[in-house]
Amino acid sequence: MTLLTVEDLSISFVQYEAGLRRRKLDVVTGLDLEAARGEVVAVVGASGSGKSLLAHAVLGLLPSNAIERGKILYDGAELDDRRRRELRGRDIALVPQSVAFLDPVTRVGDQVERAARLIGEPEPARAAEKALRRRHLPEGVEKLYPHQLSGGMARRILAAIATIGRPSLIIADEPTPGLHEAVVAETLTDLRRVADDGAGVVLITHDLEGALTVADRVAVFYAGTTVEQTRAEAFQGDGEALAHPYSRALWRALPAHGFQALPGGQPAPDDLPSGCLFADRCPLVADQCRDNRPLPRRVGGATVRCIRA
Amino acid sequence: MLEARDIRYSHHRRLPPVLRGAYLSVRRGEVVGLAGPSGAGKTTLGRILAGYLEPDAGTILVDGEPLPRRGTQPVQLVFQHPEFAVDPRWRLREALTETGRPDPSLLSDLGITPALLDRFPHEVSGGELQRVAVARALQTDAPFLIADEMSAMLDAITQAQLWHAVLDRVASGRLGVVAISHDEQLLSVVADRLVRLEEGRLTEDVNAITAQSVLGADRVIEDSTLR
Amino acid sequence: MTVPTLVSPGHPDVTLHLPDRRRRALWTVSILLIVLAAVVVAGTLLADVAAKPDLLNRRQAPSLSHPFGTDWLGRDLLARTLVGLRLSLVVGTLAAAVSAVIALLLSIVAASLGRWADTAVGWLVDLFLAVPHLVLLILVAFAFGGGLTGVVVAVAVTHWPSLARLLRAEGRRVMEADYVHLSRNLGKSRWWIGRKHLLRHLLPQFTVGLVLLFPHAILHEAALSFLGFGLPPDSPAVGIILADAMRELSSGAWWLALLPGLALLAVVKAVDVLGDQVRALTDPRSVHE
Repeated sequence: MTLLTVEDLSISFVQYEAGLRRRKLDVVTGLDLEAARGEVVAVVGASGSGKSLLAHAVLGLLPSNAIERGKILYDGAELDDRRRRELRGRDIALVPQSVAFLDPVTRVGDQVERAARLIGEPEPARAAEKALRRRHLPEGVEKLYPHQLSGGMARRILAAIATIGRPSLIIADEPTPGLHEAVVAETLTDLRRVADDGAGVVLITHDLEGALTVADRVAVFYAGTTVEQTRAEAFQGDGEALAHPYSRALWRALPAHGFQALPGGQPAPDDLPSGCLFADRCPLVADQCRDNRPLPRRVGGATVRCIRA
Repeated sequence: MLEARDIRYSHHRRLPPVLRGAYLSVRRGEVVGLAGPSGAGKTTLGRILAGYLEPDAGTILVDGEPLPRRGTQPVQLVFQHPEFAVDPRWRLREALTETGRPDPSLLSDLGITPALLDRFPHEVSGGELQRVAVARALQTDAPFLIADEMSAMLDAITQAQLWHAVLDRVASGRLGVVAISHDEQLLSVVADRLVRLEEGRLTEDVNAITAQSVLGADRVIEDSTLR
Repeated sequence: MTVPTLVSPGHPDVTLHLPDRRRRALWTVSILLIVLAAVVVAGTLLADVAAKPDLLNRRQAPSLSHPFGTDWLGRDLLARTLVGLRLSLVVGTLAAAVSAVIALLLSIVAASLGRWADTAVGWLVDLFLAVPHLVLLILVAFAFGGGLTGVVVAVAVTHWPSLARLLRAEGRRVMEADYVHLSRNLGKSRWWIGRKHLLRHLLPQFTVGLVLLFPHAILHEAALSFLGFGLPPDSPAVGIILADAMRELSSGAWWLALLPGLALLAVVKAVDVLGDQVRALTDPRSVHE
């Protein structure tokens, strides 16, 4: 049974334009995702495609002017607002994007301990120490300040804080933004370890190559919609095993696999086309593609939103 | 030709210098990749080359002349984080036209739509902002471009789009590029040669696998492990 | 084989049901402006009534014919208060505007004319802020011979430092930003950068600062008049009304101090709320809620 099931999630915002006019931004329109325990699922897409909102939605952290629709199930039961608040930090945890989340004037050991206290651990000091050891962080790291840590270590501290309460689901929101190879490897390996210890890890990132080094499954995200959910192994060779044209384009755009560009850009969230969101750039586009949005369907081992797959 | 001669720089007189005599030369029509450990000083060197920082010692020469004190600089810089490169109170159209009348074919190559230009920076994604930043730099017709981790924060497709537009210009002989990146796979397809910044000095990596312009014939990447 | 597809999402237009903060703010601002305008108009129309002494009806408690009662010369206190408030509003607005403009000009100078200009302006701000506010007010009013001129100049010249400090900080931040560096590297002149970058960032804060200065200016005019450094003793400035009332306290005529005082408070509060709503409408951080 899957731990997390997100079905057709949509998130919109109402925003002011000039003067008193308001407009609606449909930032997420058809997000599907499944994550199981012990598994790393990478959510891969361009910046601004709405991926981070997934994390905010599951944790109940969407701003008040957000309109949410769709279904989120956690451990078989619906994840309503109340349950999101209860589980947040304890059973479902977030590894944030920036190490600026760490307090620069407090030793990291104290910060981890404080986090343990905040989620109600009966023995915060012990829980903090165990969390640090589980991340294979060296003895003595507790005494250091954030600026004394290497990039990779700082990120593992963030992971330690997230995993104090032994959560079942970890969401890592862009854990390696534009970082150096070595730090990326260190951070992602650590997240893999978290999954191997039994938790489900959702890895939100724009770095496809990095994600593939540790992911079991990949959800490809485009303009606020999940276009494909497939096994990580499908990303190989020329991408023939990938079902959605965008997934294939993404693979073939990598420097090592062709460096092929696709003209155009993502549609704007306040002006989405009525049909498939990828239609304008798709090499396989047909007339029916522009009429309606495709529903997800199974093709081979993947779930795809494409009528041409 | 863009030349850096014996560049020395340290952020503060009490700190050890990050650049201890760096030499570099770039011709129009070529891409020089600049790699090195993070924090080594690649961004600092990029800023010095583009005239944003004065080196403690050494000179930057463009076609034999030092960088001009006023007027459009012949060396333009594209930053890693485009959010800081565009005034948040300007619409993107203003940022783009800051350097002249936009060329429609350049805009379409970079995926910039008129609707995008109506927006403010906080309303668009990092990828879209970077497209405008690159267009703006290319429009100046400056002969040299420093791309400082230009596509590090971007998805693969946007990365390929931006680099193709830049490499087009390089191939036509109008532009020379210094590509700063930690992504050696990327450098292997965009750079003609590779230099490494280590301990404040630049050394040419003659064993690196690099590629000719993307617009050439087949690029065969045989060995993607560079060391 | 037909593939099931999804109909284009046509969510009903939810925008109509969400609270429209901007509209409400605009309403509040409009109503308050009308109220304040009414005070100014009333003050103009009642100038004669306010000056008319009626020695037979001195120190009368509030009644239907004299809602605020009468003062020690039998003059209708409500009329006097309204005239005084009009004066306060006009003086306050004028002085606040001049102050804000001084602050803006100095911060532009500080940001765009180099290190020395910035240091000089900073030094000037610190100097003004170091002197106790009221003392400075009195000194300047005195130096300009008191009266209306003295009051306006005094208030104008002492309220710019805190806004200047804010604008100077913002100006520094803008001038050190990468996008300004870039403009310089594109050969843009200082003038161009000042106009297209600096001013765009400073104007919103200037507007908010200007509106927030009004309450201070109004209160300080009242303070100056109260202390006798402002307008001549027969003019119905609110401060003077209150000063007179202080003298009459022993006679038990509570309305002489309380009612004009409350009226002044109400006007200042109205201006304060007005400023707050304007800030909410223009502050880039909250502008989208």
